[in-house]
Amino acid sequence: MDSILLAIILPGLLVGFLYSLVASGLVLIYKSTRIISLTQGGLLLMGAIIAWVLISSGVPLWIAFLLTLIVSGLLGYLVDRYLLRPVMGQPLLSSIMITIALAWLFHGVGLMSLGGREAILLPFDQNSIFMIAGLPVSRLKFWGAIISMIIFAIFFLFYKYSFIGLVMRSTAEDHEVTQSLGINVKGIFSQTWVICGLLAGIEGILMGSILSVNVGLSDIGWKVLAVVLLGGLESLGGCIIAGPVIGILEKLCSFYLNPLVGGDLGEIVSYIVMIIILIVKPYGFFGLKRIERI
Amino acid sequence: MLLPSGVFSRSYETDMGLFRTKKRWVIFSLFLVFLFLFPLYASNYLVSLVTVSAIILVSVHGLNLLTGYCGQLSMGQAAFMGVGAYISGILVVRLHLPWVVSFICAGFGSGIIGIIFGLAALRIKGFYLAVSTLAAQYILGWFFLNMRWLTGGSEGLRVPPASIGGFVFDTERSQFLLIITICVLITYFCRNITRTHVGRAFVAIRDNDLSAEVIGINLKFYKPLAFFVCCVLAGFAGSLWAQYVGIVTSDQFTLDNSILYLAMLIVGGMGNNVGAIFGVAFMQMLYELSVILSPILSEIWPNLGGQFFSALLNVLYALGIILFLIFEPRGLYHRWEILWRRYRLYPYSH
Repeated sequence: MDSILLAIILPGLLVGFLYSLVASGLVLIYKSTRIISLTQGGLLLMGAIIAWVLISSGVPLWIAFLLTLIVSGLLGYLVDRYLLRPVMGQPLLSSIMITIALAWLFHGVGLMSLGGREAILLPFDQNSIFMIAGLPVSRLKFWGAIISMIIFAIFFLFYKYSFIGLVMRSTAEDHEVTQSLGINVKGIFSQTWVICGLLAGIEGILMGSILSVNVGLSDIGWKVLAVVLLGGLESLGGCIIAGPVIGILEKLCSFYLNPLVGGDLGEIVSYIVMIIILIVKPYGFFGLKRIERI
Repeated sequence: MLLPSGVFSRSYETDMGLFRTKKRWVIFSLFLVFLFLFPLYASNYLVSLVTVSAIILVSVHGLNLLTGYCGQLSMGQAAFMGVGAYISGILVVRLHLPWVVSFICAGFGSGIIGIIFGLAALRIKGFYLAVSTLAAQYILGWFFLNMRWLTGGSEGLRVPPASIGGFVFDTERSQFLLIITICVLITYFCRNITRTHVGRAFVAIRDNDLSAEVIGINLKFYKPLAFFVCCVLAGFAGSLWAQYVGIVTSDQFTLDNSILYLAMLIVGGMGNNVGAIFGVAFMQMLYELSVILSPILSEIWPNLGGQFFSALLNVLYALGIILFLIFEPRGLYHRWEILWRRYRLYPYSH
């Protein structure tokens, strides 16, 4: 019956898990600092480019990955310490504009380094497939989704059960109470950004291998806003559910509606979802209902 | 506003006046004369530079009202300019309506489409307008590219120059006069909005929207109004752009341009009418500088390619936003004010 339907849904599911990893970084930063950080796409692109530069200059694979993670984490720390901390007292508009400008900065740096060409990150065969239940599934996408799910699970467990995770959760609840307990809230912000940078670095490596390293990677940063809004800005669990939903929706719309419309509708369906969510349910499926309407 | 000693306000009207002394009126009139006679003594290149800057200034004034005065972030300004450009072009080319009608319809059409995208986000507290206008930017961009039967797709729409009552503005000078007139009128309009209760309501919403609601400002009306005016001005700018450039394509109105207009606003000075002018002037000069330097730099480093410098420009715009937000959030206009104040109050420079 739905062999065609499954053949559309499965790649969407796999891509969706990759989106939810990026979205989890955004949710983490929102929970801790109340800033909707749009820099994820840019950090992703930077991670992919650093990995590409290292690998293509002959560094062994695992060392290159490790270095990329270190540099991405460092980048996250620098963003927080030197760019976002100076504007902490000013209205939230300034911080969000800085994250948008940062995303654009990284996009520009990516354009400068890549010069408009696409780069293959890893010497994997893009087309190798294997069969699941009679359907051809790209090996790269499958392993990419599995790796991102594993990392998401590790991160979720870390957030829920470790001490640093507990401290981050209390910062997410209330900054003043956390500070009165003797915890350095500014330090927690830095740690959050470092983790976010690490996640973006991992995601950049994954995306760079599965797709290719091109400047379109930073557009994923804009797209995951739809995932975050759908799942709820404050809910990590919402990410893992909303990511595949958006991925599947993209592929479904792409397949069924493209002939009707004459262009690639799949590109903009996540943006249409963003607008519909704002009209219907601004706090998403699992977000806390703290959003007030005027 | 520094006034010379001996000049006081005895009534509300004189206090809110634009120019308080005769000397300032004279200087302003001379400036207007200088502006309108500009094409007589400047080269064609400079005239076209100022014309393009004036078109962008109309758009940035709209963004200033929304972001600078009302505190809402809009990332789709270029898309709404595109809407205005396409509406104006289609009305003139396909329906053969007079240009003035298409200009007004472009503005209000863009406003209505903006409200469709933004109304939901404006009813919620928080930065959802940024999300909504980002989505609008991509959706409208896709629309421009893919609705070939309406917009001409990637080949674009050819638009003839404006004509009012039979007089066609097809020389560089007449285009300059038309666009500068409209730009001066719109600057005056924006200055007036900020002087009235509407402008004060916007500022109240920016500073603390809960307090604004408590003192009786109807947020449900004023926030969408700010966004509507921003989109109407973007539509006007788009209409002027269409008839000036002559061809409307979807890649003139990308996210690139939206962020450029935001950068212009932030660098120039966000809550200020004159700040918008400073921002547009500064960024255009930066662009011209890069155009001049680009061949020289690509001779020094020939292996970098032409795309390197347009990407470098993007990086500079983004860096401009970040540095100005961190170090001088009130923009270049504030620095100019400080210099002017030092001059006026010399030797008491505090």
